[in-house]
Amino acid sequence: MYISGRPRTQHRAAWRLSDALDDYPDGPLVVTILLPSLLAAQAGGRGRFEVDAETAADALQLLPVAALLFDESKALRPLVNVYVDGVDVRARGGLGAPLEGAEMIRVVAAVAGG
Amino acid sequence: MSAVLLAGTRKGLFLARADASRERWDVEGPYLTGWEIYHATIDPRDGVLYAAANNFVYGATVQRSTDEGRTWERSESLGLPEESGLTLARAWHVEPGHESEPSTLWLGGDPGVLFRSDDGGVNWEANRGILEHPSRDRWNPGAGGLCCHSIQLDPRDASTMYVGISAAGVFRSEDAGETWTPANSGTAADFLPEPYPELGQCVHKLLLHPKRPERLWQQNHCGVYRSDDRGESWERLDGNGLPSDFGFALALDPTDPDVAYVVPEEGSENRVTSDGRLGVYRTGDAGRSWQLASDGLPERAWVAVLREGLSSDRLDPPGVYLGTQSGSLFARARDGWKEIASQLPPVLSVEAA
Repeated sequence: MYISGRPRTQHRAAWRLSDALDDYPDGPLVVTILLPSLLAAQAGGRGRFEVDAETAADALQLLPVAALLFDESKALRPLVNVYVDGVDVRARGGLGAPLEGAEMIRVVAAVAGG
Repeated sequence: MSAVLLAGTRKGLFLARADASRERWDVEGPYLTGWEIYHATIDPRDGVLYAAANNFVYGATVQRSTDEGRTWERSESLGLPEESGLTLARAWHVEPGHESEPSTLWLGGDPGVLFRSDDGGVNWEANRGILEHPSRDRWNPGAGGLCCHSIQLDPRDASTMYVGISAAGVFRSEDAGETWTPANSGTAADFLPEPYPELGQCVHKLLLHPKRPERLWQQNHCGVYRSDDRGESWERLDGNGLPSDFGFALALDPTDPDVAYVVPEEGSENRVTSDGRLGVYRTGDAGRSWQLASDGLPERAWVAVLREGLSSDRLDPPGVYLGTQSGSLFARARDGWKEIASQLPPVLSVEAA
C-alpha cells in the first residue's frame, strides 16, 4: 500500500494504535514517539505518535514509516539513532529491551551526510 | 502540446514546463525535499509521476504523484525477499510498462535488482530471474554500486525486454522477465583479465530505439556501441569523431534511429567533460561519424553529466535536455542549447515528457 505524504509536517496530532493492545497481557505501555521532519512528512504529516508497546522495536514497527527505519531483515538502518527517555537505546539493552515505563522515544538521523 | 522536464537532483525533484516552442521554461520545486531523486518519469499512459527516491539514512523508496507533483505517496511494499539475504540499497530507475499492460511498471535498483508492479506501483515484486541469475556471483559493483539503471521494453513485443546493470552487463529477456540471457558479445571490459567476457561489462546507459526496436545503443565504461540485432552483437562506434570512449549519458532521437547523442568524459580516472568544454556529440549516421553539437553550451567547462543526465522528448522537432552535476539544466529545441535553470543541486537525472 501507499502511505500518503505531504511535503512538510503540518500537524502534531497523536495517533493511538490501540489495536496492538491484545499482544500485551500485562496491560498496555503507552509511549510517545517523536519523528524528525523528513520522516513526519512520510507519515502523512504526523511527527508525534502514541503507541502501546513493550519494546522500542515493537513501537517503531507500528509506525507507518517502519520500512524507512528497518531494512528487509528487520535490522535498524545503521544511520538511524533511537533514544528512549534521552538515552541511546544501545545503552538500554537494545531495541528489544523492555520499555519499563519509558515515556518518550525519539528517532534521530545520525549526524552525517552532505 | 506542452513539454515537461523532470530533473532529479541530490536535493529533491524539480519540474520545468514549456509550451511546444520550448523557448521559455518555468521551473518549479523542489518536491520530495530531503530525498535524492535518482530518476523520475511521467507515465505516458495516465500522467502519474514516479520517482526513484533515496535517502542516505532511510534507504530506497519509490514515490508517486497523481497531482503533477504537488503531493506524493510512498510505496510501502518495496523490498527484497528476506530469504535472498540481500537488502535494497538504492532505487535507480522507474520504467512504465508495455502499452498493452497499463498497470505494469518496472523499477531497477541496487544490488542489481529489478522489480515489477502490476497495480500502478502500489506493490512491487522482485524479479526472480534477475535476483537469482546464475551468474550473479560474477557481478561486481561500479562506483555507483551494483545498479540496475537501464530498463528497456520492446514496444512491438511485450515479452522482450532488456536491462543494463553495472557491472554485470546487458541482459535480454524474451519471456517477459522470466529468464535473462547476457547480451554483451563484442563489448569490452578492459578492467577484467578477459577483455571480452560473456558478462561483467560496465554498461553505463542502455537505450532501445522505439521505431526500430532491434536497434540498441549503449554508452559503456569501455566505449560507445550499437547493436542492430537485439544485443546479439555490438559494433564499437567511438573511433570516429568522439574525443573519448568514456562517458555516461546517452540520448536518442525518437523519430530517427540513426541519431544519438553522447557526452564524452576525459576517462575513468578523470570524470569531467572532454577538452575542457561541455561537449555534446551527435551522430546522424548510426555512429559512423560524430559531430560536436554544443552550440550554446559553455566552451570553458569541467563538468560531469551522469548516466541519467541526458534525455530527449517526443515533440516535433525532438528536443534534447541535459543536466549537470553543477546544477544547470540545458534544453536544445530549435536554435541551439539554452540554459533553462542554474544553481540547482547536483542533477542526477533528466527525463523529458
